[in-house]
Amino acid sequence: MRLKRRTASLVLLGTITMFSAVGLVAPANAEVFQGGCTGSAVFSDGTTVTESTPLSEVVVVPEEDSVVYQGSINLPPPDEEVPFSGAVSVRLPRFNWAVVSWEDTTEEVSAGGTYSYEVPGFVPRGVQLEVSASHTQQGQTCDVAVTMKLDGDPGAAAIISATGMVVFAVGTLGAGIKKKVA
Amino acid sequence: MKGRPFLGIISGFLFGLFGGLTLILFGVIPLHSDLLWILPLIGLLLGLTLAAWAPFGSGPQQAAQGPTVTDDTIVDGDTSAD
Repeated sequence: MRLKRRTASLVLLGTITMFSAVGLVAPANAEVFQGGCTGSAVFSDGTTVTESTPLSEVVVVPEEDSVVYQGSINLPPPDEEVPFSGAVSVRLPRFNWAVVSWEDTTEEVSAGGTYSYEVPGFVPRGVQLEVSASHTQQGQTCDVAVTMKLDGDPGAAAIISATGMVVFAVGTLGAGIKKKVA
Repeated sequence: MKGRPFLGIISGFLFGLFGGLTLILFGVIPLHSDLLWILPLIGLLLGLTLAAWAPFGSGPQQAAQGPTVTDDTIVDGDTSAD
């Protein structure tokens, strides 16, 4: 009986350990650059993200900032205005959430400027986000992705979540208690 | 099922869900990770397995074999003193 209990506890402990061990594995490398284009974004603290930043590298960014950006697509300038479109999106489980998108016509093949952003308060800090940018012009699509993390602590949400995990771990163990026969 | 399957299903599912959320919120796994829906399924299976296995608590057979107290065995202190 004692051995059985110990084995059951080890199974649960193993599951919790697996949860933790998964975290030690860095996100896998992936295709981060498709199509011929270059681009960069420089944050006010000097953090720079380029098209060659590997997906396995987690870039920590402030929750609000002004970013100096530039990008160009490796195509000859068109003779007349051509349509273009693109978006920056955050990858969520099963779908992507478009944060900002653009669509217009242009004769240019490069652009630059400053973009100010402020992340809403409900987005937890310290969470790894895969942010991807896509731009399509003259039939050529350029895709870039980078792993980002908002600067700061996850806050009360993480503590509540960890507490919930422990409470329901106990509940799961409770499922292994034999029912009393009347 | 010797244990509590409904408790196992609900607690196991929520254990996996909160486990996944905790890993995400502490920045251990990325937000888009498939573990967010895989872990609740693993937790659910774990809860069901524990409920079927029921390694904790005394079994009904052992409880039945234990000493039983009946009215005949109860000795009234005042009566025996007389």
